[in-house]
Amino acid sequence: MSDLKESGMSQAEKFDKWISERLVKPPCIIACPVNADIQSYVSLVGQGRFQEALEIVRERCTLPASLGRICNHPCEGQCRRNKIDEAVSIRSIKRFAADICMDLPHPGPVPKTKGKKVAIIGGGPSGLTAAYDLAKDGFSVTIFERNDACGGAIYTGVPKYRLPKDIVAWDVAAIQSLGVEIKTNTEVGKDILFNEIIKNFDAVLIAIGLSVSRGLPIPGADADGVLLALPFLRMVNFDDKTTIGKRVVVIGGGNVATDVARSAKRLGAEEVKMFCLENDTEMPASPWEIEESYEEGIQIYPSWGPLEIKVKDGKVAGIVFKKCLSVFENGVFSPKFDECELTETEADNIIFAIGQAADMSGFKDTELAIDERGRISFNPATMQTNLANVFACGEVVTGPGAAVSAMKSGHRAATAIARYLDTGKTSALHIKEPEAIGQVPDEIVEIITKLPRTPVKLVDASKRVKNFDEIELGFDQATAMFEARRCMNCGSGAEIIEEKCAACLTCVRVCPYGAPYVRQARAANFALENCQACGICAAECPALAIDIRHNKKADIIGRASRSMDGSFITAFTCQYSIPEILNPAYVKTEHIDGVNQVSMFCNNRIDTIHILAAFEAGADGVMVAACPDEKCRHNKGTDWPKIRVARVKNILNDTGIGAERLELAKIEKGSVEALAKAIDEFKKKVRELGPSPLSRQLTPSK
Amino acid sequence: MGFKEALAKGEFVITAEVGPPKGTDISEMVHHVEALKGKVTALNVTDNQSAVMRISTLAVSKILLDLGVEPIYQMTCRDRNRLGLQSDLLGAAVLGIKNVLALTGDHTTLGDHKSAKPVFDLESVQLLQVIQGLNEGHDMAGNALKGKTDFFAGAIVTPEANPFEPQFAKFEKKIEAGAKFFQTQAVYDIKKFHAFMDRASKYNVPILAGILLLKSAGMARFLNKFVAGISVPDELIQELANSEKPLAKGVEIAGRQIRELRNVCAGVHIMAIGAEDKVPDILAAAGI
Amino acid sequence: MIVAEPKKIEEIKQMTDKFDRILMVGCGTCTTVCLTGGEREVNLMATALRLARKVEGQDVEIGEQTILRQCDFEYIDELKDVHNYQAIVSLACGAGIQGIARKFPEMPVLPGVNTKFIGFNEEFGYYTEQCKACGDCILHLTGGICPIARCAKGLLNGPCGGTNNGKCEIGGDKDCAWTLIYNQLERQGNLKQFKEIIAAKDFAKAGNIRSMDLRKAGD
Repeated sequence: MSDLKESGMSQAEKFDKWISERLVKPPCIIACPVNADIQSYVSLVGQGRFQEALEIVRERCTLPASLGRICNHPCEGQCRRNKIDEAVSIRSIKRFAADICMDLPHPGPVPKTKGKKVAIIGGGPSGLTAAYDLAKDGFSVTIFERNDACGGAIYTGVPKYRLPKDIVAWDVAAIQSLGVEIKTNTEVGKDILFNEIIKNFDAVLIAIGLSVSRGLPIPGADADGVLLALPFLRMVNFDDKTTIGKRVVVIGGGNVATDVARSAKRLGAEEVKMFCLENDTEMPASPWEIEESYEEGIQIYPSWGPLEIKVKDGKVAGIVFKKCLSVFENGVFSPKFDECELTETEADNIIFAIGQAADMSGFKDTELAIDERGRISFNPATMQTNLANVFACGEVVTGPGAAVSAMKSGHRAATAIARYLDTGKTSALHIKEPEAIGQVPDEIVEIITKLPRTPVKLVDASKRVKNFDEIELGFDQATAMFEARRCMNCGSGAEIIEEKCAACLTCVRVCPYGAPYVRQARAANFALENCQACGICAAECPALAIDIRHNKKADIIGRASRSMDGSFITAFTCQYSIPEILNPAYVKTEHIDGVNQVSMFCNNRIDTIHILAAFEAGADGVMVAACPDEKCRHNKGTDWPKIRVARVKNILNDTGIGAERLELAKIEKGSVEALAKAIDEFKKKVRELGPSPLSRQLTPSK
Repeated sequence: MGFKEALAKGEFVITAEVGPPKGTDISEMVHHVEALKGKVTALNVTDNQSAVMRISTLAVSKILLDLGVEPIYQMTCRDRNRLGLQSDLLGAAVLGIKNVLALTGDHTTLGDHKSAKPVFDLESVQLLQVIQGLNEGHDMAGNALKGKTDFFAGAIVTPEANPFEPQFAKFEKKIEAGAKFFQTQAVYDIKKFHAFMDRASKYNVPILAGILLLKSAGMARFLNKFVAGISVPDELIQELANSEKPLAKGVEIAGRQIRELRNVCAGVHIMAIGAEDKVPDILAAAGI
Repeated sequence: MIVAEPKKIEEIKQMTDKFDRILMVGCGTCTTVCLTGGEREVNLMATALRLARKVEGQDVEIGEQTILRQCDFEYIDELKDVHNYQAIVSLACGAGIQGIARKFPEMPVLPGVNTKFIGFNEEFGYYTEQCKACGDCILHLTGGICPIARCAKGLLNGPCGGTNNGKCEIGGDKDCAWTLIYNQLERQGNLKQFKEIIAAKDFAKAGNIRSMDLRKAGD
């Protein structure tokens, strides 16, 4: 998607083009509600190109640092690596890309070329996302936010131990830097009227989320000590003096409930119990939230519904629950109870975390149509309300969901608004849903090299419950890059130029993974499910009909041929083996003193043509630095780099350049020291040989 | 008595070989031939044996005739096409040569003119058919001859070939094509030879067992390694290795072999490559 | 398909040393499949030639084009700017090289490969001769194994006396075709076929300066 950056296309056009370009995409991208180009940004992190990675993240996941911490990562659930060993740690990689770039300047203002103004009411994830898209399209955007800062639910609701507030501020600042005007402490209906906004803006987007906590009108619900989730969490986030009783009961089974429970624990509650209607397999809270809650000493009691709060002297004393037998009937919320099976527990505080509703008070007495249940009259196909130039997005119209889903809604709204403002018309948004690449075939699971996933580290449970410090320890650079390289580059491997294909079966025969197939002597095609993007076929195809999408020939030759000042050696280094080599110094210049480094995703990709290009461009020596045989990810019995190097050596001898100028080095243990040593020794050797007959040192490069 | 008549009479026939030299000096060859005169029934003249270029077998066969020794004119298909072969056969006939051994011939790449074009327009079976046709008074194209030939045609067989069945099938084809006698490749495995002779007996065709003079253990090993269809058993190699005079031992072994085979074959064909002067000794050792 | 092997760089260099502008033409069919004359090999050969010349301090311009086949004029017509060059090196089989030569009779057309045989692709990079295009196929008599191509002597009634444990007397671990034929016919229960004498080959029927003309089929 990065190639579309400078294209002058609108946000919607760019996304549309990319998503429909190849109608089969890696499952991570399909699973992601905003269809972030996960594969590209993971690959870029793997290459040490962090800033480029971050830009790609932000295009669709507009709050990368925040989501890098709290996203529920449906992508990882679909990661095809699950079948081999474990999913790639996509969320942590995203977090790393944001964290490592935190000291870099933000994107910067985009010229407001459209001459149209958009007001966004609500600066939460969906509103911020819409703001990002519209600002990049050249619209003038103003966000009206009633809190003292943007972020919405992730600012006010998500506890600090999961998401520090300065992180949210950084994400918001990036969007703001595009030229988005943010008016905080401005509540529609109080500080400014909705009707005023409609008058002064060409389009309005309502993105106010669900900010009202629901309670239950059971006996005792009005007692002192009964709290609602959202106000409680807001207090926890912003009022250091918040206290809580010793025994806390949380009612609810979702992530808000665990946020509440774990926050209560951190405030000092000795006993925190969670009760929810759902049974333990149905609980809507994320599995890791449940696990971390158990680790922190939270007790969870599934399949109970609140019956009555026991009150003593006007204060909460305890609560009685009845057994919940089932929650849903035919998909509809319809809990069934056993009124005879009861349980009771003592409590000092009861906190309801059973759901949220919208606060529509700011839109009373306006022309915005709201139904009797308080819901905005909304057309999801066009993202419009009853008013032609008023749109809505996010939880206020989709219902409760993950932050990333709210962002998806924000993108849709921006597309609809942009189209409306450009053409005066709205139309149903067509969603192109590409297919996900199929599962890894059983036959090759054993062949694919296993690489254990680096677990995401948390602060020890006993320590972390004592405060609200961030509990998750992010990856350091080496870990992030290693983890990124576990990605199998689904669908980013071999692609064919059919007219050139001679159906010679070479690719079929050399592929270790069974990806190529030729039917009835027509052109070769590649089973995306099998291809591991190793590059062996591309470097063997006698018709030059195959290229590798994420490691293209033109790009490699371009880098192999470049003459960088003073570089007399060209080194093709394998990225998989030597993560540490790409420390920031190398990353920035890719030029180790006298060496033009061409990093490859696996040296099985190296083509005799690439090596010769380096010599033709005047390198005095060429080194192919590969992984040791037993570590080579794609060496399944044939040492292709060795075979190709041997071929080039013959040509070098036959042409009078000399085979000694080419060396294949297997870098032991994949360490930067070993590589540096090998390069130094090779440099010495080449200096002794003197300049090659074609040396660029001898002839000025054209 | 002539070769053909001796076989017909059931006499135990002895043949040996003479290899023409590479050059015009035939004095040594003549010397060998004269030494064998009277001791053998007929002498094979090899045809550029092992694809090494030597004096034409037709010329040397004539020389043998002139020396009073009956030649067996060996003819391979490697160097001449069907015109050349028929032409030479007619030439052999008018020169008085009666016996022809039809061979396919070793491949050029084995010899000393490796770049030569291997002809093989015909092979041994087809050549036998051609000879039969000439005997009947027509050439291969069906044209009537002005004067027919009267050749006694033979072929070779390798009793110890491995695999054996294709070899035996070929043997049968050669008989169908007109082979009237056979000389075998060197025989060492008496049991195998007996078995072969049993199967071959129904064809009532005289077969001369090949006796190859081993000059040393080294030669035996060389043969095992490089020559198809010859398999010298370890015991014989040991005998040669242990002897102080391996050549004499070889002669003794050859004599012994002849004695062992006497009763199962129509005669023997002694191959004493380069040691033709030892043939009389072999015969003596065999008690002939 | 037709199998050709690349000529040595040295040999091609000698052929082309007197030219400064050379067009190298690859073939997208047989020589691509046998990995010696397709677009990749054109690129490698052209690069090697450029490097060799540069080492001697000379420049040479080498155009690289690959067409689907060089044995049809329609595809040869797809070559571009041929007259900008002084000579053409073709990496097609002999038929293709001559096709180019016929199309551009005033240009030196040079062979970049040695055409070897009609063969079978046993596995990646390994090809064996199977057919001599003798023009008179007798595979029905030999169990589907061709003695003309696969017997060193092209015998029609084999094996010869040089056969050795199923291998040919010429060595190099080559199979004796007639042993293969015997085994095949035995497998098929047809040893009777093996015992039939096959008559000498009719070389006149096989033809000389050969062509095949289907144009008058309807007359």
